[in-house]
Amino acid sequence: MRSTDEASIVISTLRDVREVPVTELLTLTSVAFDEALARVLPDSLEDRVPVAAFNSAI
Amino acid sequence: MGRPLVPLTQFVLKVHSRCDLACDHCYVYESADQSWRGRPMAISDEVVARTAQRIAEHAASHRLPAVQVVLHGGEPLLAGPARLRTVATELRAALRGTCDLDLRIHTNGVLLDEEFCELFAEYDVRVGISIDGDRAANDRHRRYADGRSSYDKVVRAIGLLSTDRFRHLYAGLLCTIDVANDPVTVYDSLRSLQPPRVDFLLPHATWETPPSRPLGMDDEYADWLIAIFDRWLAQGRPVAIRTFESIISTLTGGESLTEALGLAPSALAIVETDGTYEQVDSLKSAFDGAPATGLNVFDHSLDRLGQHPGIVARQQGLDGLCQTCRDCPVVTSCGGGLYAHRYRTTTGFANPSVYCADLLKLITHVSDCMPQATAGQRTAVTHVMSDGDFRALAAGFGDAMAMTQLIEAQRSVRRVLLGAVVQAGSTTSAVSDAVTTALQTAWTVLTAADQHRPGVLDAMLAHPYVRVWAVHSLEQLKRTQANRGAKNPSRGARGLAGDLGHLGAIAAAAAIRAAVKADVTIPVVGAAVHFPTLGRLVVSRGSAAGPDDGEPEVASVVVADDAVTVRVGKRHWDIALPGLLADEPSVAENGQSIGWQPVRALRAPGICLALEDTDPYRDCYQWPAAPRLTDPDIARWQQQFESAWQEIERHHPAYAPALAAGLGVLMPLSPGPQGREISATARQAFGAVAAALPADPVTLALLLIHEFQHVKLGAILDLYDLYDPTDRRLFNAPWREDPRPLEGLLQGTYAHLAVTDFWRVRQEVTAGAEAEAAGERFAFWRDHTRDAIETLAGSGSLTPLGERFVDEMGRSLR
Repeated sequence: MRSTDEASIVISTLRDVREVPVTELLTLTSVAFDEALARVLPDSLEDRVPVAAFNSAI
Repeated sequence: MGRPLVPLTQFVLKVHSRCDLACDHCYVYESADQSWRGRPMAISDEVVARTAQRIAEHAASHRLPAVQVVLHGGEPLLAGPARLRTVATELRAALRGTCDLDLRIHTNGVLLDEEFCELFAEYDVRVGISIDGDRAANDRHRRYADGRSSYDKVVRAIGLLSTDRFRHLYAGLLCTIDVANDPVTVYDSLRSLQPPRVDFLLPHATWETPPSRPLGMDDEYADWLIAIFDRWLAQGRPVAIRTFESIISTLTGGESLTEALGLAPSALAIVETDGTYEQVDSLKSAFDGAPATGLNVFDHSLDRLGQHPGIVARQQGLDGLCQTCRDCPVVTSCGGGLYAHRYRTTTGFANPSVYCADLLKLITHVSDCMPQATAGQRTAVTHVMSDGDFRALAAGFGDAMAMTQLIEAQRSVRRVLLGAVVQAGSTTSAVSDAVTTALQTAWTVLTAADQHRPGVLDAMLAHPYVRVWAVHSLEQLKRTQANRGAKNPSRGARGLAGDLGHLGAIAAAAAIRAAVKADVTIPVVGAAVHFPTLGRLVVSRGSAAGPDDGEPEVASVVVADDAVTVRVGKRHWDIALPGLLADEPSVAENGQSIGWQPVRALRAPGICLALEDTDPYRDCYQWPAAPRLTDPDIARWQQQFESAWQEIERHHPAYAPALAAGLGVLMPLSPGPQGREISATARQAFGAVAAALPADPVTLALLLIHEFQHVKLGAILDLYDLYDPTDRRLFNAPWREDPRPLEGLLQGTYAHLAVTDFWRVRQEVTAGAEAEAAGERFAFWRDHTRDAIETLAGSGSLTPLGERFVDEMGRSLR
């Protein structure tokens, strides 16, 4: 990732996983997957666990 | 109160206030709060109706895309099928057209039978069940009032949920921790019940009523959970465990997944059987009356509830914690633990959790085990783009550097998609063991190839139809798991086997490119064995249709030092490797040479791209893919492409660098109806343009420039939110009769920026009638594009970044 003046860059919420070793790709969090999938597959997350979900249900 | 209201998105609806079990660790009946005694047994129709209305008005007011409602109790199944049908009907009807409804029920399971499951299938209600481990563990606490075990009935209920008919309803299992139970035994027993998701709950306790600690240690619960975590991690995380995933998420800058951990604001409300609103249920363990709000569904809106001090108190994040917690190194993952567990009579909730030492030890252990999480990743690294490149792309242009930033972002997208396919394919219960094994074998080959020759993985992922395959596979996994509408459930499973098996094809191609040995299975699709980016081996005289045939036949493929051996049944082929990579393979079948069909290339000075007529996932456009091109077809394409590229470089040079950098594939389409010029792009096929060979090179140049605009904008949308995705209105596009959704209008407008520019230039570089015709087209597209930009700008649905983007589009037209 280039280091530039924050005022002259447009920041995305897409996580940069280019440097994640292939062998560790599957250890990415489900949230990392969810965030990326939400950008490319907006309807993909019906089964996702909601943020701060009710503790006494699953 | 002077602070924004946090919309409530999760609702726990108590449909019955009593229970048919007498679990001695239950927070509803065995805690300080005894308000259940004064509640009606079952929820009334009036409370149901009013609750549904309140949720709908709240969702509409806050434009919520989705809400979750959990039917709870007591024991919700005691409400009976008829009442639960009423509840589900009211909720679905009230929210239809307003937002999506994730409807669930959490039960002890002892009453769950086919009648209930049929009802839940009809209304798409996901079912979660409480069970504390194997028989011995479960019998410690979860018994009937007369002491009988509930274990057999619960396991029978879980077995019913695990059948093909109802598997899609199975939400998961909740286990309340008792450190007297062996953790590995508990974990293994829960795994044997094949849940899609599990969580382990710390038993409710406060500083006034601390948890049982048989060994007298303040971290016994951490050790218990760590034993499971280590086993789970060593097994490759075979089942989703919410507590662990929440910690991992927050360690890498993500959100917490449970109210029991992390700093995410609570968006939860309880509605009791009498319509009373309550704060979070677990507060019952603090003191009598702790969850009370004094509000109810008949007299008060959910907005009013959202302003209650008790609700707001659980939305303060770091500011809502005591100093000890704020100073703690794991506070972003712990968040002070479950709110109720902080209670002390003297200081209320302004304390660390009574499980503080456990949480610190557990989170520290998870962090130590997850190297990526600890590599300075408190804030996740995300992609960025220079403002100059963003503006250039917004204006319809963008040079090679701008294109490179889009391409680099696609590397992340594709890696995530690949990982998601492998993870989901390995953990989805609808996938057979044989398919899972083949998937994991292919993954092993892929990682080995990339380790041997770094960059091979990214090179394979860069193929546009690998992303199409990944997205298709994820959608198939979801459909197959849901088992919706399939008259023959096995048909979906067979198609899914073919889709997941394609990873073997990708792995084999990667192994060939990386010169590593491999032994994988590859599905035979359309009578061919495919090697993405390289070509395909036609193994029979069957049709060359796409992967939807769902054929179960597989090929055994062995990549050795100098050849690839393909076996299908009793037949085998040997493909010499050096020639394969040089597009001149020697292929022998039992001594006879046959159908290797390589991917061919189109070349012009400064650009080379694949003319892709072999990939099984290339047929993803609204127009059908052309069959295998003959050598004369290739020659015509090459000739026209060279001329088109010359036209672009000479007269439209602003587009050439991005095209050269980003256009990797041209997918030939079958000729359009009545000679119509046709072309297309697909949202998931970044880097590819599909086209039927047009009549002349100038038209091909226009098609490439036009379609590549769609490719660029798709990649921009992968990076940035330019508009509100919940806005489902349709807008008039001047060039179409049918109104378009906002993204469709944006795509069309962005593409026609370039089309307008193209005709402006044509008017200048041509003469006579041709220039006059070009001028008319320029005026036509300029006016239509300008109108569309005004529509976009006035839609009210653009984000601030989207407004900047559209503003630049408008400037480009002036």
